[in-house]
Formats: sequence, C-alpha cells, structure tokens
Amino acid sequence: MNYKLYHGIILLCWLFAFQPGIAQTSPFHLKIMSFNVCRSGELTQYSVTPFADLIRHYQPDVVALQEVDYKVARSNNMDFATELGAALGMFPVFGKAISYQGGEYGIAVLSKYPISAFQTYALPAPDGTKEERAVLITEIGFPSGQNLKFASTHLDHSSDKVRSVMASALNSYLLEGEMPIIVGGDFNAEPEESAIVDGMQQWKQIGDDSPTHPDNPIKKIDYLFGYPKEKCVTISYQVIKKTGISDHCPVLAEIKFQ
Amino acid sequence: MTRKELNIFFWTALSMILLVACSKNNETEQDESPWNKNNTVTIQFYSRLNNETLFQTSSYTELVNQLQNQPHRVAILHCADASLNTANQLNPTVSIAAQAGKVPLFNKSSLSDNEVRGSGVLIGHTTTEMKTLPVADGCTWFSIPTYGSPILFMSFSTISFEEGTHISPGATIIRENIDDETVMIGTINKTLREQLESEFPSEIYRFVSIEGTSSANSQAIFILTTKRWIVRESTEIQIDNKKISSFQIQVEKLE
Repeated sequence: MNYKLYHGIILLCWLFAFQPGIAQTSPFHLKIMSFNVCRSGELTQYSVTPFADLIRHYQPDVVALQEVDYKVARSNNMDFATELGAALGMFPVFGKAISYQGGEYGIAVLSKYPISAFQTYALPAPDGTKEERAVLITEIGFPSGQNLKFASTHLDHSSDKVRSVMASALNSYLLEGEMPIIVGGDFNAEPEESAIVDGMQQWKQIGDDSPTHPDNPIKKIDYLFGYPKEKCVTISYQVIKKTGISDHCPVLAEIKFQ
Repeated sequence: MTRKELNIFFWTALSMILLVACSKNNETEQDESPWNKNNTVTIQFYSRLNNETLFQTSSYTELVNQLQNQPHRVAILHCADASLNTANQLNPTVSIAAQAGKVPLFNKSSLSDNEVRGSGVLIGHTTTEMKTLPVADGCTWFSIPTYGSPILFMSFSTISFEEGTHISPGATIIRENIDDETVMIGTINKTLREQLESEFPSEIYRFVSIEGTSSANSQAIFILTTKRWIVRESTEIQIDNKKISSFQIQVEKLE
C-alpha cells in the first residue's frame, strides 16, 4: 500500500474515533415491556408481588403500565405504581387519567434508571368517548449517556373514530425533538383499525400481530411502537401468555436504535 | 422663639419622626409582620450534610416514623443513592415512599452502570409534571408544581452544589426559572456559600443558609426565594444514631 495513503487512512480512523458525540450515534439497546395490569391487580387480590415477580424475571429497562390505581377504594387505597416500584427497586411515575373512588386511575411507567422529566397530557375526548384517557410521557437518561422518551397510554374502548382522534393527539404530544421515542400501551384497537393503520403510520410497530388479549389471547390490542421508524430495529419480541395475573398479556421486546 | 418659629419647629420635628418611623417599618415590615401559618409550607430535609450516601442500611423505620408523624408537604432525602445491581436493585427513596404513603420523585446527580447518585423528593399527592436541567455531572436543577398548603400553590425546586465551577451555570439556570411561586431548598458546600449567595442580589432574592449542629459537617442547607417568601422557623433533630440530621423548615409566603 502507498505509504501516504496508509497514513491518511490511519489519520481518518483517528479523526472518526474522536468525533464528539460518537456515543450518541452508537446503537442504543433496550428491553421494553407494556402491560395492562387489570384494574391494579384485580386478579391478584391487588397484590403487587406477582407483577413484581414477572417483571423481575424478564428484566426490562422500562415498563409501560395501564389500568393503574392511585389510592382508589377498590384496591384498598394502595399506590400501585410506587408499591410495584419499591418491590423491584425501579423508579415509578403515575399519570392520572380520571378521578375515581376517592383516588386516581390511569397509567404509569417504571424505569430501571431515574426519570429525568415527565408530563401527563389528557387526550381529547370527542363525542362518543366512554372514558377520559391520557398519555404519560417520560424522559430517561441511560448510563451510556443516551436519552429516551418513553410513554404509556391507554386508548378508549368506545370506537375506532374516538381512538383515531386520540392517536392523532399522541403524535402531536410525542413527535417532537431529536430523542428516540417508544410508546407502549393498550390501544383497544386491532391492527387493521384506522387508529393503528393511519394513526400510528409514522411509527415502527415493534413485533408482530400476535394476539395479546385476554390472558389466553385471541386478539391484538396491546402494542409497542418506536420512532424514528427507520432507526428502530426489533431484536426480539414476545407476547407472554397465560400469566394468570391479568386479562391482558404483557408484551416484551428487545430493540435497538441505530 | 416666636409662635410661628415654634410651629415650624414642631411640624418639622413631627415630619422627621414620621419619616424615620416609616423608613424603619419598610425595612423590617416583612420580618415583623405576624406569621400567617395558613400561608406557610413545611418542608423536611434529611441529610448527613457531608455528601455521603444517606442510607448505609436498608432499615428505614425511624425515618418513616418521622415522615408519618411530623406534618410536612415536601420531604427531601439528600444523597438517597440507589444501587442498580441487577440481582437486587435497592432504591431507598421508593421503598420509603411506599412505607410512608408518599409519592417518590428523584433528582439524579450522576449515573453509572451500578449506581445512581442523587436526592429523593417525597410529596403527598401525584403531580402532572416534573422537570430537571443538568448543570454538570453531579449537579442537576429539579422542579415540580405542588401545594405548600391546601390553598398555597408553589413551585418546589432543589439543587446541590459541591463544586465551585457549578455555581455560575447553576445560578444562571436558577435565575431563569425562579419566580414568586418558587421555594428552592438545596445544599451547598460551606466553602462555596458566599460565592453562591453573591449570585442572588438581596434586593430581589432572599438567601438563607442553615447549618447543622455538628461542626464536622462540610455542607449547609440553603433556602432561596424571592422576597415574597420568608423562612420563619427551622428545627433540627438527629436520627439513626445521630448520623442523619432531620430539619423541619417552615417558609411563609407573604401577602
């Protein structure tokens, strides 16, 4: 090899290796889960322990939870997200959708790493909405220096039209900035509905259309989506069936942003 | 002295007395106004005041009892570091919150694969948002909207300073975000206290620092607000075999 060319290549390699921000562009691996916990553990007599055991077994970095109670009478005034976070050593945050039985009902996020910011947004409730819903958006910093926007949501069970309006609002709240984004949730919509086909068209659906509901599942209504679409790669995906602790199956994925 | 001269002297003297009295009143008006306890927020602050991790065991009973028995709106667990060990992730802030019936939040100051350092913030209700802004590794500004009493909205904020190089950028972030709703409570290395205080002109801000009883402490607590707030009382007790100082700080919002 030409001597000058050889040294030029070496120099370019060094320059490339010491580019500022190189860590930000290196692949960002994550293990993520979304789980509707069926009215904060109605099937576990409101004990968080079976949920903690399941989550601990799969070791996700972040979890989106739906149907979470905060100090609601039916679940003995427990703070489900904090108790589950305490059992796992994870950082919890709760997002209120509605006031209910003296407490609050909504969604939550658990993270292995501290949550550096969060905000809960009420989703629009057009005519025909049966229950007000919300999205909880968190920002999480990882030891690698990379940051993730991670959201949990639960769309209304009324109609595809209502859910499409809610999905459109999700996009307006979530699709801004440079950070990679994951949203997990119970969308109450099957894959062919417009809330998914049109509402989530800018997103990469993580995993396939395997059914997720009920515990021995027959239809898919629980999802994980990643953004930007072209940078989000699914490494593995699993629907965890027959847990016996909810009427939904948790969905679990390993992904990377490249 | 003529009657006219006597009148001039009398009215001049009276004017001077009134002027001095009013000036004195303005200067100390807020300090001497009666303490409105309905407009007062009580904050608990737990710290070793030496930048050491707050908990060296996973038994929190004494602290949980203190949280349950002493009324307060916000509690700070300074240096409530968490272990990220996969087999046994220990998160004192969240464990204590679950035991004491509080909602846990966390202000991260630094993060590695095995440990996260920072302070826990406990409140008695859920909140719709939380913000942090990193100043530098080891120093992060934190803010939440909350209530200082059932009728008193406040923006609660915290930060810890251990390095002189963090003061100027940290003070810039604080000044950009502080307003009449803000109560900030943090820690400052005692050697940096004057440097931090000088960033906040006393015409606009109220800067109060509190030292623990132990002379071995390297840190002090500081409370920073606009002139709308005043620190009315601070008491300290020690728990965990006198290793942890528990401060009960009362701050009033002036009408």
